[in-house]
Amino acid sequence: MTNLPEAFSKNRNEETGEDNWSDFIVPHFIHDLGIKSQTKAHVIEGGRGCGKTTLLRYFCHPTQFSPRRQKVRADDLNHIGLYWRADTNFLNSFSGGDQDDAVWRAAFDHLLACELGKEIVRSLRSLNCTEVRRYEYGGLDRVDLSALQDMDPEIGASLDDLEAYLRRARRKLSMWINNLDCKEHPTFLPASTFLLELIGILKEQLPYLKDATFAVFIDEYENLREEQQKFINGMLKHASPPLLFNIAMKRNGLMTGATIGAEAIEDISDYRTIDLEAALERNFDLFAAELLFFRLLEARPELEAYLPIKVEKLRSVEADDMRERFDNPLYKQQVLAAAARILPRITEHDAASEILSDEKLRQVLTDRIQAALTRRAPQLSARDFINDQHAAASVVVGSLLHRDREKPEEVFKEFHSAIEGKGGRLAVGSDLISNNLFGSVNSIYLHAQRTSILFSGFVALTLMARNNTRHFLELAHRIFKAYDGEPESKDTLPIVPPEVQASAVREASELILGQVKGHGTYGPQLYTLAQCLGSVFRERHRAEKQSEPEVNHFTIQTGDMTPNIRRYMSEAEKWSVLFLSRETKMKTTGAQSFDFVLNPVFAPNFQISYRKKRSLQVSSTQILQMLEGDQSARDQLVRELGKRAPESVHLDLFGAPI
Amino acid sequence: MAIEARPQYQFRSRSSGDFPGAIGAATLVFVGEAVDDRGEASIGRLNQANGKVVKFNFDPSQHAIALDGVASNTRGLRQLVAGHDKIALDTTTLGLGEILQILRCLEPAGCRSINFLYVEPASYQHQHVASHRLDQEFTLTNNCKFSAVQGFAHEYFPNHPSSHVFMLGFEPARLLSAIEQRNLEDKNRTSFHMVVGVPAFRPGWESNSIRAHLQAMENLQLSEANVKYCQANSIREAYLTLWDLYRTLGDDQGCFFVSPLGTKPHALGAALFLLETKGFDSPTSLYYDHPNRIPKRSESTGTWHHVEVLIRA
Repeated sequence: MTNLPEAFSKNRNEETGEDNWSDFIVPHFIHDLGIKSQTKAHVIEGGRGCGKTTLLRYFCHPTQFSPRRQKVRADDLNHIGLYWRADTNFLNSFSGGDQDDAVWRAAFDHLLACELGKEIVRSLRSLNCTEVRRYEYGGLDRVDLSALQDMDPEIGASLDDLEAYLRRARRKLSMWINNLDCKEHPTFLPASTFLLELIGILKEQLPYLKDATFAVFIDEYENLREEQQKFINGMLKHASPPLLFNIAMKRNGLMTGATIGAEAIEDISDYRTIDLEAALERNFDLFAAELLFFRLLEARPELEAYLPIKVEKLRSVEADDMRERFDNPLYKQQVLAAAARILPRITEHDAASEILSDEKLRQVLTDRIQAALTRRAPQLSARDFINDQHAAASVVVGSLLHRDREKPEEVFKEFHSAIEGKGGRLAVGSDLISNNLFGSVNSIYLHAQRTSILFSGFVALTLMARNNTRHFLELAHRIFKAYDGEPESKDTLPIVPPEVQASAVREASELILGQVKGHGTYGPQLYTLAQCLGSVFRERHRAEKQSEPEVNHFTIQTGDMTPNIRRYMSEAEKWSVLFLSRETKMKTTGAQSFDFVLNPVFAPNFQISYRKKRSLQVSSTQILQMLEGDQSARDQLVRELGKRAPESVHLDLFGAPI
Repeated sequence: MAIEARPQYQFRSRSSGDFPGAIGAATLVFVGEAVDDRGEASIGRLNQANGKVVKFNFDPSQHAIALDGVASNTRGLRQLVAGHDKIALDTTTLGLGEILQILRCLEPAGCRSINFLYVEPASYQHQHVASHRLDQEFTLTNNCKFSAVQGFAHEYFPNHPSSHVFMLGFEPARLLSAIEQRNLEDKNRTSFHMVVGVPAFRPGWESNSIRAHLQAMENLQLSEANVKYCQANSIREAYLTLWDLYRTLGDDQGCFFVSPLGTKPHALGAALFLLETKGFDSPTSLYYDHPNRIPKRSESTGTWHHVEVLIRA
């Protein structure tokens, strides 16, 4: 049994091994992907940590033919997944060295033949990994591969021989690369020809494979060299059963659509794109809650009776089980409610009450109100605007009184009208309060230099993780690490206090931000961009007026989008530092503008809103400064952009100021 | 099982406050691109000596070399080296990729020794970190991409055991990037060791290396036992530290990957270690990111080092 924080620390598929049969929570879209019935290539796209590798591993033979699986169905043999992730550091050496490009292409082709040939043999061993399965399928010791010896007489005749040959061939390839000037290159196998020949022999000699298609999944395609991508593109384009190719990559990972031939690959006609984050978006909250419980039960299996899930159902692809999870609103409601019990939130209204009941926070609010009144209406006192029974209105008033267009006397009237239950702009549930409460509460926490309690609750966690499983688990890991209060009895669900969550989430966010430095070739620049943007937004969130609360994304309004900036933006999107908001706003000129949203997982570090709200306009020069400028230039930029904008009136749909 | 082979190279080191005159006797000198004061100083002084000075460039993305700006190849390099018995490398301006290409050619060309010139900086450019004013942030390199060098390239298999030794510098991004590229979180199959330059070039500079990497070390759950200390400006110490780790870890740890992300003397020690262990049954390999050095990254000159290494008895 693992302890509670550790259950959430296994947040990368690489750490859980090849066989994830027992760990895989079937997502709602599993059957929509059409992977098991594929006839052409799939391109699986998504940000770092969204679950690409987990999904790929699920469809590959170690999982599908897992010994932990009770029964392999006949149609499971129709699609046999082969996983391959290259050591791209090593593959980067496949160029130059006084060798022709054609030699390197053949060497890469050979490497694929060796790796995938080994995988095909391994898949047969996975299928026949139990006595029962060997009885049902078997026949591996009778396979005769001597026909392959036409390609190289050293191949041997049995599966064991072939495996040994392929391992030897890989060693020879490695030795050649390290001794280019004194060794002839080894015999190169052409991957497609070799693999198709091998598959043909196996189908002929093992009747249970007669309908089998071998589907290759190439992970982290974006890290391959451009000429290697072209080579794979050709395989994607021309492949057909019984040998298909799929790739998985981060956004903007396709350096080229070209192949080594004359034709380029094209979406739809040559491959189907699966946007994994978009697919997860619809039910991410449900998925995250199920994952939370699944990991919780790893540490505390005795709690299963108290949770609305059945672990077996989460792993099931049966239509009835899937319907029960995804087409049953009551189930979803129960699951989300249970998650919210474990990770309770403090609403903005509760946080406003918290401000009034905490001496330091109340003082910050009082000082803020008094400062505005001293300047604008000395006859009034802060006491006139603070009412413990109307905490939300009191906190929002702290911002309103700093706005030039709000007359203190009018605010006073509105406030007292609300207190007396006569309605008005500050009445409970009014737009004015709901539009300003988050920003006003957060601003007070920022001024008090306290961790904002708004960064708590299961829902907030899913918004911060933004369809990213790894980030959700990292946040959960830190929360349970910080949670030191054991449940009173072992039959009780852990309930993590919001204050503990908020503090842990801030710590996790800082750690995740720190990792950005290592994100690709431009990691350090992406890190300074995120730091600078976060600092600007934080300054905006500190503003006393809160006339533009929750500024947390930006548009590039002026300046040229030079190739340099485009490259940086593409990298920022690739590494999920920024998200490009696809919904474009039509300006009066007809021009379109795109919003760049800072990943909300960084929001707790800067104590800025994790909800996409208001946009900041910047120039391309300023963005370049954030990426490449020195610290003093970036500090200057934070001061400039962090200053509140000239006050403008924001109107609601009916023309009233909000 | 422990490795029985032992280090064979011999070192003769001299340090001085100015250009070490003995290196002026080299008949062939390789230099790189000067990006700061010390680079200009070292190339300037070498140009005044009697030896033939060749500007050498290695492009790790294409594995292409150029001599005095003209595309060449390994054969051309060997021909150039042949017949010179006193060769010097200005390692202040040459990158690790370039140094490895030259070292590879020495033995086939019959060279018995090699001379390294290295000039320490008086100071590095740095900035205070916005959020933590006590920390210093160094931007000394950019455009880092881990890419193997032919001759020192072994494949990394996540499912096989391996050892990774990172020689740390001032820029944590390089270590983070190394971890990210290989998804190096699986502690069951990978053993990690960090080498920190202590004593540093200047008293106190070691904290720039240590503090910057604390978080990454915590993420990898490393303890004090995983950290080795070795003099920042000593090629010999770096070379022997790697040998020590290599022999201690033994051949049941799989491939021994070395990532010299710190000082140039450490990188030189790593280069010599990799050269000597190339082709050993228990493989060693470079895992390196070939950074671009940022112009004006350091100021003025510090101590000058001349190290002669005997690579063949």
